[in-house]
Amino acid sequence: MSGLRRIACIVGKDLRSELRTKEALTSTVFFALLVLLVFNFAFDPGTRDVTVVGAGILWIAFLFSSILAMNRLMLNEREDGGIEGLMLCPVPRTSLYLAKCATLLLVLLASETVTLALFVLFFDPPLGGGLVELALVVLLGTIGLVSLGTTFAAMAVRTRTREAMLPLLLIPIAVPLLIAVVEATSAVLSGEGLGQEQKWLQLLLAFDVLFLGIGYLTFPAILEE
Amino acid sequence: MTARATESASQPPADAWRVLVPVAAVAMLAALWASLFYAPTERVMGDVQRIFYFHVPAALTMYVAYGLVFLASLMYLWKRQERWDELATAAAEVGTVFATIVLITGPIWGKPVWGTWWVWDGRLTSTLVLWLIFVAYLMLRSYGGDGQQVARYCAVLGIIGFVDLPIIHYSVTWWRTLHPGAVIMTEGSIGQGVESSMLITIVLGVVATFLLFALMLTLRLRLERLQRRAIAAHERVREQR
Repeated sequence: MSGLRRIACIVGKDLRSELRTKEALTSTVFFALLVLLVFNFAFDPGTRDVTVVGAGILWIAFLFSSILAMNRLMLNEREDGGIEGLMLCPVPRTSLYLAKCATLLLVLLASETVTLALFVLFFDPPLGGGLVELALVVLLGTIGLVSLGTTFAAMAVRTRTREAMLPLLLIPIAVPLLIAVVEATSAVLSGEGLGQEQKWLQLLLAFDVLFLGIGYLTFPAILEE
Repeated sequence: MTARATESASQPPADAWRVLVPVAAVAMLAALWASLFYAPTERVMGDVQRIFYFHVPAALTMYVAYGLVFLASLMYLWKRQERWDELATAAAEVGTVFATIVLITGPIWGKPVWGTWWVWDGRLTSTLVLWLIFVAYLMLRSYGGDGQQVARYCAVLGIIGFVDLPIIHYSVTWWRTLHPGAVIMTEGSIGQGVESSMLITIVLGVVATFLLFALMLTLRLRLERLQRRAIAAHERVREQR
């Protein structure tokens, strides 16, 4: 089997088990909905300009719900010797990283699509024709979160604090990513488009490439027994 | 785990600290005297500006310490020798002490000069984020599990955290910045635009702070080795029973 097919096999197995229980999907979507609800009360963006706080609300919903999904997908491997089974597979450990990233990315993109639809429904931002640009920002931002989240969740579930460790590791490192996605999303939501905000896209791209690379190279050191 | 712990613990703990104690003490006193009496009072900011003579050296020391964590983390993942993990542990802890000093002395200066303790400016924000990353690092140290696992996890975080530094810097600078720019080393010239006695004082401050850092690092390293030797001895006794 070629390397890509092996990765596809593991992703297929993870997605199958996710689709049977839908644990990660339902919990992230429902949690994101709750975040939108809480922020609606906290900021009452109907009366204020949604372009000011909208991007922040959206990305807090994405960030917090993604943390749930990261922990869920890694905790599944902890139970019943899942990760030991994967480590016995004739697959390089670096491929396991890519497979885990791919699964997490697909699950998050699915839940973010629903969250985004709910966000537009509730807050009605003046999107204009910016849906493609918004999709690009969400995709780049999610790849960045996934590249770090896969590494940190694999660590966190094996610490004594378990899943409580993940946000402490993830959020400070992800600060540049969060600044970039919020700035870029604000530009899109206000209808201005990304014309003036190219630098944030470049920063996101650099962030994604860099941390996917580091995650890929260091994952074998995390899985070692 | 036991085998590795014994191998490094068999080396005698470094004794450099005995020499460093008097040297660092003299340097610290000299830097204190220079910053309070030798350096002239700044015309606009007044006496509070003197906190720079410790704020700036502490910031430099913080970067040196976190740079050491990065190098030691790389070396640990490459060589898997326990001494690199010991160095990373010590440098991360001592570096966080200096980062805390930077974050405390900054607002003390900021309140009278800017009129506010804290602003969400580029440099302040990136220093705070850096501090948070290494507080998370120290928590991972405490809760990360057994010896080798925690060493590997911390090495990965040490690398990710350091590589993140320039990205944090650019992102928060593009976001906004208010912090006074570099005054001593501007483009093309070193030391112009600064009173020479101020320059001497800040150099003295840097030397003294580096010596203090070296002392704290050797002491922390010694403590770490003794601690690991104690744990290894404890495990040996338990195995023999």
